[in-house]
Amino acid sequence: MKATAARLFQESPISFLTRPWIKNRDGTLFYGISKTGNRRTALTTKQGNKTMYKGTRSSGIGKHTTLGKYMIDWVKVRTFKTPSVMNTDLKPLVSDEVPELAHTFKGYQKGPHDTKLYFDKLRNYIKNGEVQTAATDAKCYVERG
Amino acid sequence: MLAFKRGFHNTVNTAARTRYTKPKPKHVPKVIAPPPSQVTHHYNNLKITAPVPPVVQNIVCPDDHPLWQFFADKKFMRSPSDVDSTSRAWSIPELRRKSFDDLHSLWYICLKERNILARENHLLRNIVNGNQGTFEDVSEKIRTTMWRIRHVLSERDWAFKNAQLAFENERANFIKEFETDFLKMTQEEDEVAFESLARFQKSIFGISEYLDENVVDRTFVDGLKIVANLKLQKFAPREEAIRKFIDALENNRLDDVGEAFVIFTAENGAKDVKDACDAVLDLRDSNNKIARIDEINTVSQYIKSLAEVQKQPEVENENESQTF
Amino acid sequence: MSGTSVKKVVGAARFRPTKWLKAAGYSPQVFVFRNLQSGQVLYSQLPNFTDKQIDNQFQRPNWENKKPSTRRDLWKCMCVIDMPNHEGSVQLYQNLVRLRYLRDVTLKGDAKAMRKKNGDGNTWFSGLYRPTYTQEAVADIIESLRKIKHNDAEQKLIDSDSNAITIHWEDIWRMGDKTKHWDPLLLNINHTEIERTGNTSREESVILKQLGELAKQATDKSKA
Repeated sequence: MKATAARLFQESPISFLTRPWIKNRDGTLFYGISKTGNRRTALTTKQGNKTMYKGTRSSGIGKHTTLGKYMIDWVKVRTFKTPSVMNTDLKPLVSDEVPELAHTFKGYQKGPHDTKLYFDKLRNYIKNGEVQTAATDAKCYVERG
Repeated sequence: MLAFKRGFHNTVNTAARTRYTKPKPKHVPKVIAPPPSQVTHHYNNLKITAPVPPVVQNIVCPDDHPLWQFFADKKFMRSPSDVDSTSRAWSIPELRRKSFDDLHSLWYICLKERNILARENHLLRNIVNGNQGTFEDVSEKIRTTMWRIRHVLSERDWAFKNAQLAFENERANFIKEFETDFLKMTQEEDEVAFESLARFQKSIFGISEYLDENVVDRTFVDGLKIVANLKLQKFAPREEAIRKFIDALENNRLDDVGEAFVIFTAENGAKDVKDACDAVLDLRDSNNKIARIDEINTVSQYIKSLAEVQKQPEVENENESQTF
Repeated sequence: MSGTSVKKVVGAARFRPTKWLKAAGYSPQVFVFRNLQSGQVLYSQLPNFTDKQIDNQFQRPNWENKKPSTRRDLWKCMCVIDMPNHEGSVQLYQNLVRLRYLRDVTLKGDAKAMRKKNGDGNTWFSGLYRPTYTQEAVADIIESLRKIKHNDAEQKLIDSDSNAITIHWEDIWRMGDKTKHWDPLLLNINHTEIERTGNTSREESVILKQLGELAKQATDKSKA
């Protein structure tokens, strides 16, 4: 059977188009689910060529000395800093009965990043000190921000 | 062949007998005990017995065992209906209200909760062979809370950095604005005014009221001068002497750091500031003007010695003013 | 001497009599180490051990009871036995080593008969681990302590009525059923658990040193 020209492939019989892929009687491919295989799995350490290096994000915390020892640079070692005073009253989730708070940033074009907002807050602090804002009211669900 | 018995050289002495000596005791050969070793001194009635298997009853798990942090209510596994699946994640505006410490705590609380859920989800998938997604859904919600915490922190950081950059242009304006507000306040409002002055110097120049925690740099020195001038101007309308003092100054502004420091450390009262002015005038005769290049060093020395004086409560205030 | 290398004998390498232990300032203790990989057990008079002791205490290695390695990370202290005096601790050590010899060499068959077997008739194992060695060590400790107490009634080697014998277990789970195995033969023995907070593997030498200090204080107090 002669190969069909690429322009006329739609006229070629379907069995010809799927030629190398033999099917079972019920129409499924006999060797698997898809023709292409799964190309969406993560690259492992064993794949790739000789220059491919995939670490475990666990090394590189020091240097090998000429005497064959390993000197750990403690600045590079991962540390986990926990809060000095743990606030245990907080919960990871909020009750769904509480409506979500909204910030409007009215008059501040860049929203939370607006420097004007920052200066206004500073001005307010210098003038009045630390005062309770409207945010402390439990019924307030829309505020400036 | 010669048949005679040869004795040792001491045999003659031991065997010698005279009429006057008692017979010597018979020589007893010395018993040489073997040195103690691992194999010589064990008991000989030892018997081998059956192995003693360990028993579970001996294990007591303490209530505060650290691994309990991976369990909810000390249960092997919660049923999916016990898990709070209706609650929602913290929203960004809600998190914006929280302090850094609160956000830090919340992060670790979320992390612990996700550990619990991951454990339970693993059991559900591999031991119980269930396929409900409850644990995963809740875990995903907590993940949302966690990225939002990071978002809020980064937002705060950027806002601070941007504001710091923009403040270079804004500074003069900002200080002038505060000066007018501060000087406008009447004598009755003095307490409020000086409280706001303290906040002003802390937030703009980093001058803390607790002297020993200050870091002296250029902004600190400039701030010191501005605050001293503000004080003078505040009390000038109330005291003739202060007004005269200001009028005598070049451009009507105090520019020497040493002098500014004396005014700065004075109490907030018309009389105290006037005394400080007098002290400045006294010192001025000795002509020890501080060059701009030495300002930072001098001020840090002043602060160090002042902090030392403050540590000793017995030393009177008079000595303190004399040191400067 | 040519051709043979002579190992320097240090610390725990050779048997130490009471005189030496007293002079060196050690408390009357016997240390029991456990191999984490194979479950084999090593007795020592000092809070450390050497390859000499391994050679001495594993005299008939075979495929089931291989000679363990000297790797220090594989050995962990299983228990520390505080005795009232040095004579007692040395006696206990000698008895324990003797019992090991009996199990491995003299009464090999009897020892094997008492072990739990798997389907193939071999000593039960999982991977390289054979739990029976640790359990035998516990049985040996019970046996030798019992014999010491028994012989003591005549020899007055140690005060049999005092509560001075203390066993510090790494895991109290391993001591077995107290009512069944310990109480009928050995009353008045204190069992405590070594505190497990922190990295006990890394700080083992410090923990053992502290236990030694505590034992020394206790004996000083009882003498005074």
